[in-house]
Amino acid sequence: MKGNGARTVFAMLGLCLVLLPGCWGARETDELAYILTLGIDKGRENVINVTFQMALPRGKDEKGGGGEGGGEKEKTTETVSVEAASIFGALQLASAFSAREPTLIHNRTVVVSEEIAREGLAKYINPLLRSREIRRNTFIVVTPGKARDFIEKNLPPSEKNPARQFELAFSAAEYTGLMMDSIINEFSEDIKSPGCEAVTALVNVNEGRPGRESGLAAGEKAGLEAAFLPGEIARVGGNKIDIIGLAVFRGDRLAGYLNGSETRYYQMASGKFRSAIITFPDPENPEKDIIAMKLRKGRPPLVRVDLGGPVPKIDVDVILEGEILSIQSGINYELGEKERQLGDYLEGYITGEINKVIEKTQQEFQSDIFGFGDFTRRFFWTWREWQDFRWLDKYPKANIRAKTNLIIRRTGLMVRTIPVKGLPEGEKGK
Amino acid sequence: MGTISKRESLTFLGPSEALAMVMIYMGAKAFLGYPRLMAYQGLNAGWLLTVLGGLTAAAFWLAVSALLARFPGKSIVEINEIILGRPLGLGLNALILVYLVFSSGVFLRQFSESVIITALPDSPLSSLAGLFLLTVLIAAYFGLESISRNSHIALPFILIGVAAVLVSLYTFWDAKELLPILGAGAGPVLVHGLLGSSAYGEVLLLAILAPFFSFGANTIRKVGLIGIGVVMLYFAAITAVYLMVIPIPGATETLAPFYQLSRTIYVGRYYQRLESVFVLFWTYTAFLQLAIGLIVTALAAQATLKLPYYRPLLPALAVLFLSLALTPASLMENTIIEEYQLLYGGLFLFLVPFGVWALAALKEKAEKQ
Repeated sequence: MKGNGARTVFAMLGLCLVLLPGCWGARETDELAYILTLGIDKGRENVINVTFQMALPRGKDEKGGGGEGGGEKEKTTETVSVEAASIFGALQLASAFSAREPTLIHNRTVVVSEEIAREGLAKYINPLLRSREIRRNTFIVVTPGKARDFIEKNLPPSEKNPARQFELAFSAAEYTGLMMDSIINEFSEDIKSPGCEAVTALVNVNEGRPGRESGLAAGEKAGLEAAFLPGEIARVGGNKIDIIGLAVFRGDRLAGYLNGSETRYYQMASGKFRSAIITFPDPENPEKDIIAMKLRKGRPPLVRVDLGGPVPKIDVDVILEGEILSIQSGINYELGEKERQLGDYLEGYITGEINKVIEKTQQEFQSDIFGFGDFTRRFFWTWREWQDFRWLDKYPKANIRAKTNLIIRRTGLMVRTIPVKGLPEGEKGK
Repeated sequence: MGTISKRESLTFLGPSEALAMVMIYMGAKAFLGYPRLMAYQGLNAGWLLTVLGGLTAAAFWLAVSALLARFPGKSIVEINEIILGRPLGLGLNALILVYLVFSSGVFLRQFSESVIITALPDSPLSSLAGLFLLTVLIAAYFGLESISRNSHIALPFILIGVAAVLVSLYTFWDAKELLPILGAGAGPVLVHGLLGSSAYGEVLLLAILAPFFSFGANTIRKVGLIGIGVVMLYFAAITAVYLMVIPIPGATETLAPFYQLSRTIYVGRYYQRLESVFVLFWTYTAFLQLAIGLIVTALAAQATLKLPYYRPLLPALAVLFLSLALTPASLMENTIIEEYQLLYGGLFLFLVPFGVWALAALKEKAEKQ
């Protein structure tokens, strides 16, 4: 027994040796400055201007920030910008005025300015992928303005932690479809892939603006309801930033933007769509009335590829399910022929919008952000053959047509709509 | 001729302990550069290489186990001497010993470097590898039985841990990334698939430890086949998930693919940042792998050199492991050595006993005639 006890102690002490090497890199949590958001702008004096949004220790009694008219609010973060030749150079310089050691281990979001994104992002992404501190599931977003402005003005009234704020904001993609999360892993793979191109979420500062008189009919307004880039949404109050739309890349360079509405149709065709409430013009009275529908993905889109012809031909079947939320006209679209009529109309409408987005990516961006090229893989035996096919060069001229299959599954808590003052003709007495 | 079994007659391992040891000894490489190498050689068909390699290794193993069946209770070290004679057998066993020391040295360096890069950036390499090896030395000193039981207890946790990481990444899976199906092409896939049997070369552990088993050659064969089969499935699953999550060409870039996968897990706000849990599995698996490597090398050396005890060899072998681990000038140099070892090293472990088996068969045929 005595021998066994000694052996056990010996073994346990031995195992403790494994933990000893950690002593060299030991850092107390109160020695570190946790960066939550990283911003990259073009520098004036040096190559880049790097912005760090650092968490302030809880209980720190400084006051500041706060929303418009919201009184004083506890300051939870501090934003600093440093000009340097590289991100890590900026981190080193930040130590010159920060008592704590800045660390990226809790960084959740990287914000890149348009100026940098148009130059090419590969050289900024590679060091992040190489770093042990950055996770591949870190969000990457592009702002048409300055990254510093966006980070500084982002003061969510209901959320103290910017890392959590972005997680929550991107989770809204599941029920609005207006934005989409974009992580470094996917971005870096897409900019290297011969089968698809990259997109990132799009963000910007919105100082607030009241709505302007457009002079459009109700139906036209419905179509433009979500067609905003960030910073353009007509609103007053709230956090001074918008997260809506997508930045489209060709290779690692920014090629252009998709607005909120286009983002929804892009997601429908690429299979990333979950659900959204979309407003359409009423088919029988488009000038005056609208119909609101909740759409959700029925099944992933069916993509059929034909490489036999002179140009690649791709057919995309988008399969959606819908629930009627509002019929302003009072027309009984819930049943019979009218229901079929509404379904056909919406299918045509959505198909048209999806095709417009596909056309935009082919002609304006020349960038296959849908990843249709990945569906051509099965026609080849080897990677080399597929790479030599050069899909991305063929994409702008490819014959791509989308088709929508919409099944109206539910009509909310109403099964029919009775117009004001009485039953419609033909329905009386039934 | 002295045999291992006479000197260590008190140690008898059951089939499940043997299976656990051989699986950990073979499978630990999945936590280092193995999935990256498969991706580099086979591109999208990297997972196919692991399957082809496993099937080739199983065929080789059938020959080796047939050789063991001819000499019940004898280790491959003893059989080599019986078939080839003392001088040639000794030479061959010395080569096997050199390979065992070399492979453990490479593993120790690669593991230590991976720990430095991913978790302990400020720790000196020599201290990290040295202290780790000291723990391994203590385990090996306790003997084969302790290590085998330890492996037996740890294996289910390791297997479940690996499966949990792979399943947790399901939100990132994209099966299209496994196409084109032949990846680098039929020729390279076939060649690298056959050479890929090296990844299973550690199954030879069963042939070295044959005298310590409480079961016969038939069960040794089954244990080897099951070990190769299960490890093959795990290698294929890890490589396939790796290719689906971090596709080609990015898959060829990552230093420690499995660690990178565990860092990528994000299944909602409360199920993320799991690499810290993974590091525990990782470290313990590496500890067991090296402990198995050390004791197997010591036992093989004991049998080769006809020594009465193996324990005095442990510190000397540990110093050899450490010296070899510290020899490459840089991580990149060691990564290249690791790649060559994964490509050709295990094949040597298979070809040697395969040749001995063929020679034994020829001798038997000649004797009958």
